[in-house]
Amino acid sequence: MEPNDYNLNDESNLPSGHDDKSSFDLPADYFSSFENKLRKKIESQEELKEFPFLLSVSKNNLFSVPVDYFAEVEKTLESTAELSIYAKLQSIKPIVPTELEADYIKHLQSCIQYKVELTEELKSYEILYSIDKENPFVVSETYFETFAEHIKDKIFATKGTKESVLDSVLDFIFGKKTTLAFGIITVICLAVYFYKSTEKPLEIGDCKTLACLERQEILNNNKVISNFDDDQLIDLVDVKSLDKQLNSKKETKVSTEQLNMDSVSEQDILDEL
Amino acid sequence: MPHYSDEEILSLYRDESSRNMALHHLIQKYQQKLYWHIRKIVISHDDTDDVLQNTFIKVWKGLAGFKEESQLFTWLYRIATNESLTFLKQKARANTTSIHPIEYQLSKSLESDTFFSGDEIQLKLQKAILTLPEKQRIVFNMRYYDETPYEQMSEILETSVGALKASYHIAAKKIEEFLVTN
Repeated sequence: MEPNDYNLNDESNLPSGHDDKSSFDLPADYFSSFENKLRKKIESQEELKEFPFLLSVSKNNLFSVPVDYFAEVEKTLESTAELSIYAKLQSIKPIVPTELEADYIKHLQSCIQYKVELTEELKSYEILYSIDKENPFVVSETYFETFAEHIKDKIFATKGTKESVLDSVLDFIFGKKTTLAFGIITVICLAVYFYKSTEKPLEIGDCKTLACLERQEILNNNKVISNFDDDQLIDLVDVKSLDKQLNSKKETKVSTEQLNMDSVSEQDILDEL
Repeated sequence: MPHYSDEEILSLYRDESSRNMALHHLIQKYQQKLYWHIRKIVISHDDTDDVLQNTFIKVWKGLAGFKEESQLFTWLYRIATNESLTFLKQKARANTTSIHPIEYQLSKSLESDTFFSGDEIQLKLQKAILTLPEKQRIVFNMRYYDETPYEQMSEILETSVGALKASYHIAAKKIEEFLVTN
C-alpha cells in the first residue's frame, strides 16, 4: 500500500482492535497548530540562510536552572497570590530554615536515647512524672537585653578606678586586708610589751631576796614593789642572807679603812698636824 | 545570632585588643543559662540578679588564670553555684530576726513573688524542692529541669556520679512524699 493511499480517517485502515482511544495520545491542538509551527520554522531557516555558520550550529539551550526551580517558582507564586489579599501577612518575611548543623544527625540518636533515659528515670516517681516540666519562674523581657551592658559598665568602672597608681597604693594601705593585718600586729605588740613590763623579774642580788636590792633598784621598780603589802615584803626577806651580806659589807669597809691607814706614813701624820 | 564557641571566646580574650568583645560574647552565651541555674537556687529575681553580676565579675577577674583543664561552661557553673550558696549563707546569717531556716523564708517569698508564674501544682513542687538540703536541691534542679548529664554535673559539683545518682533519687523520693502528704 502506497503511503498516499493511507487515509487515517478511514476506520478500515486502522489495525484491528484499535479505536480512537488508542494507548498513544497527543496534545489537543497538535494538528491544528502544526501547520503554523512548520511555517515559522521554515521562515526562520530562510532568514538564517544568509548566515551559514549560525545555521550549522544546533540551537541548544546552554543554560540550566537549579533542580526543581520551576516547581518552586510555581509554589512561591501560588502562595504570593494567596497572601495578596492579606496585606499584613504579606509584609511578614517567612522564616527561612537554616541549614542543619553538620553533626546534627550524628547527635540526634544519642539525644533521643538520653531523653528516653530521662523519662524512664522519672517513671518510678508517679507524681513527678505526671507534672509538666516547665519553668515557673519568669523574668522581665528586657532583662537579658540590657544585662551585658550593665555588667560591662560595672567591670570597666571598677577597672578604671584601679588604674591610678595613687589609688592602688591607697587601696593597699587602707585596704581591708592591710588594716586587719596592721590591727593584729598592733595588738600582738601591745600584748608582748605589757606582758614583759609586768613580768620583768627584779635583779635581786646575791642573797636571792628583795632585801639585797639597792634603794634605787627598788625605786625603779616601785610599781612592782607597790603591789606587795608590808607582810609580803617582810616574808621575802631572807634574814640570814641579809645578815651575812651586811657583815661582809662591814668587814670590807673596815679592811678598806685599815688598808688606807697602813699606807699613811708617820711623816704624813706629822705634816698634817 | 549564633553564639561563639568557648575556644573562640577564649582566643578573643587572649588578644588584648579583642578582650571587650570576649566579655560581650561570654555574657551573651551564658547569661540565660546561668541566670536560670542561679534563680532555681536563690529563688528571688533581685537576688539572682546580684548573684549573676557577682558571678560574671568573678569570672572576668579569674579568666586570666583559667587553665582550661576543665571546660569553660563547667567552670562558669561551678562559680555560679558557689556564689549562690555563699549568698544564701550570708542571707541566713544576716537574717537574725527570723527563727525559721532560710529555705522556709524562700518558700514563703515564692507566694508573693511577681516573677513566679506557676500554677498551684508548680508552686507545690517548688515548695517541695525547697524542703531539700542545698546540695540535693541543686542536683535535683540540674537533673529534672536542665536535664544535665550526671557526668557534667560531676565535674561542676565535684562529686562522684554514683553519689549524684543517689542524691537525685533521694531528692525525688522526698518530693514525692511531700506532694502526697501535702
